[in-house]
Amino acid sequence: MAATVAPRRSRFPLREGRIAFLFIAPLFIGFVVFNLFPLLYSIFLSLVNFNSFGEVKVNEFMGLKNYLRAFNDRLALESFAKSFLFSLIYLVGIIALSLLAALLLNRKLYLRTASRTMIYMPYVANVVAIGIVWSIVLNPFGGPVNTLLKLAGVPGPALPEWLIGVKSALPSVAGIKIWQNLAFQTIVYLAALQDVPRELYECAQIDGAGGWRRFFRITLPMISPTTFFLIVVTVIGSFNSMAIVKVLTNGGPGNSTRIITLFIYEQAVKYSYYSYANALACILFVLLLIITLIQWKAQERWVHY
Amino acid sequence: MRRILYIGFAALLLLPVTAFAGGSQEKQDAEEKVVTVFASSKEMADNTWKLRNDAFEKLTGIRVDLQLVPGSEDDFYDKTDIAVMGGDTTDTIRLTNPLNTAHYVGSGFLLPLDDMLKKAGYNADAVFGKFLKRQGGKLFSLPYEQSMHAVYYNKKIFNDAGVPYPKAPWTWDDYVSTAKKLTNKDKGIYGSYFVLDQGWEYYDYMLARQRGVSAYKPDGSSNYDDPAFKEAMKFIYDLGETYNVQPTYKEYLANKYTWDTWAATGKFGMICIGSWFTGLLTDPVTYPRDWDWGIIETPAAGPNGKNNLNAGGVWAVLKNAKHPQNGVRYITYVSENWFQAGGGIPARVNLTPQEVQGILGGIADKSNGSVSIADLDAALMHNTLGVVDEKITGAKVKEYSDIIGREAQLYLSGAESLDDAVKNIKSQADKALLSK
Repeated sequence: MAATVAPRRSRFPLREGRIAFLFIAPLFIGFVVFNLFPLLYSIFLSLVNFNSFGEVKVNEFMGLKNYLRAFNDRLALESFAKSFLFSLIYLVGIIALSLLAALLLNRKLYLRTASRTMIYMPYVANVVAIGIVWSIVLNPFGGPVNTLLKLAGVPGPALPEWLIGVKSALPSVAGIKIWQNLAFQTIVYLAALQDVPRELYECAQIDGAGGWRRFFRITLPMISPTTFFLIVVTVIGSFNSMAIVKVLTNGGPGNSTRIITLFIYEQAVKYSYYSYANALACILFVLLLIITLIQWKAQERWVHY
Repeated sequence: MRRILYIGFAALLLLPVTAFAGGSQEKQDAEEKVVTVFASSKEMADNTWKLRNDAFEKLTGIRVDLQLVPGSEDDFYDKTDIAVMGGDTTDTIRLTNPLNTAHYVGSGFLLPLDDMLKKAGYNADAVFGKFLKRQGGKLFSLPYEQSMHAVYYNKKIFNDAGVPYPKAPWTWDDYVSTAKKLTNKDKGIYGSYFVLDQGWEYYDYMLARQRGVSAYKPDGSSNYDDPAFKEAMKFIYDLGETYNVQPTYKEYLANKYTWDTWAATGKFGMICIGSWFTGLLTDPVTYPRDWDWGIIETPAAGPNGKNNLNAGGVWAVLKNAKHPQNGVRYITYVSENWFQAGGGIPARVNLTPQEVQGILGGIADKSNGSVSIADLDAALMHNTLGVVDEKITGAKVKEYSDIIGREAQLYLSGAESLDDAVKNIKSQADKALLSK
């Protein structure tokens, strides 16, 4: 009987696998330590009693009590609503304006390089400096904007109150955040616009298509993957607006700009309701996940790859 | 050969680690004569802090290392909370009002001082006596001042308007009528100034405090449906919106006014504030001025409101302190001697009447002739008023104060009626106070 000899397996793939693991290890370890563990720990904290300073009462399992509390907390619900409103204003504003800016910068424009540099400056500016400058610019009592509006004939009572008005504060903060972050969206759009083949426009022009038609039938569909990407990151980024809100209005006047991230921060840091704050953060995470999934599903209808 | 290379490479990697280890050891040795103190950016630049710490270093040879807590003053304690929770080893902290003190003691963030003071041979009772506050029989902090309120006034504004200086005893009605005479909006002069920032909510219920009305009912719920609170909040609103004697809340926000604007600008006639304010008015470096100031006792809130407001700040040693014994030495020094550089009235019982007069004399001297010892004594020490706590104290007081502050903001900015504001405070506070 002839002995069967198992084919000798090459050690190379195993060795290659180990080397590959070494390459991804820094990222993987970083992900586990800085993303996965905090996420799981946050979920854990939201289920136990850590609503005061001191030790975490691990044995005091609270189940969904912290989550249910959020749905009975008028201020928390209002903060979620304000965040969604803020997100909507920010999303519509920044997508429209960044596309417009990219279209302008994509043309042969006088001082194009200078314009590109200037549009990028707010993006690298310090948020505190932005807060101070805009507080001065939008001061309703003698600030430059309202002074100009007054000179243009806008009557005193109709002058906007900007950051100190209960109704105007949230849109004002969203507007400032649009100004601050316009550069990123513009540059991404600019890159997308430069990737649209010139021939398509030339063919359309020969066929007699006008400027608007070319924009809606060629430009928008061709840059739709970029638009989709920007919408997803903008929506997620819009919920991460605590710094600018804190600097400009600190949630006020009253609760008018108390967005959910600021509310979560206050619950944790100010009142020591760590479990409640973590429950709110988990709810926010789930809501953002749902929004992103809806966007992902909906993109099949309008994004052209 | 390869092994040698590996060992060499590993040694190269470890080199910085050993260098750090050496540095750490050196640092540890040096830090034996160090005390670390949390300080805001404003305090870092404050001349009185520098003078005080220089004096401490000279006396003890212990270096004072200020640990900057960046950001606005409003966030100071939010950030120190996180730092302490995260294991920060800063030694000492100044807690400026009873809300912060209660929060820090309740959170277990402070070291009990009794044993450490004993070890240092320091008799706190003999120095601070009745001003010491023990929690559960333990001492966690030392008071550095008794902050009695008074009205400070700008003599130049009075002189320019031809208005005689106010005389005690007086009431808030007298205050308003005086402020009206001083206000000259064309020149940017207002007769009155109240700090309306977050954290100064106590002005919204100041009149109720003066009348001794509790913020809590016997069952632990909010007492904000007591008419005294409504009247108190309306008073602050009326100063800006009805009497026009101070900036409206919106003007206050838009112009970024703050707690030291009165001292820094010289554009306001009067301010009612704690005696720590003498520190600003006797500090020509941080607050240079070309006008004189006066002082008079706090106006009474009617016949049943003849009380002055008092609050005291404290110094404490933090639970993770790296140099707790140095911390104790520091807080005993600054608590005893805060007034030397910063003004104010010390919370000490071991001072003779002559020494008290000497302290007042120190303030008077530094005022460059603005006020006399008699003025200070009459306003702060021997006035016609009783004493009540400036802030509400009790269960969940931080949340309660923030609820009051938020609703007051809405009322003061015209977004909510007075009735709604008071109703909302009551309902929100009840929810917070009565929940577990």
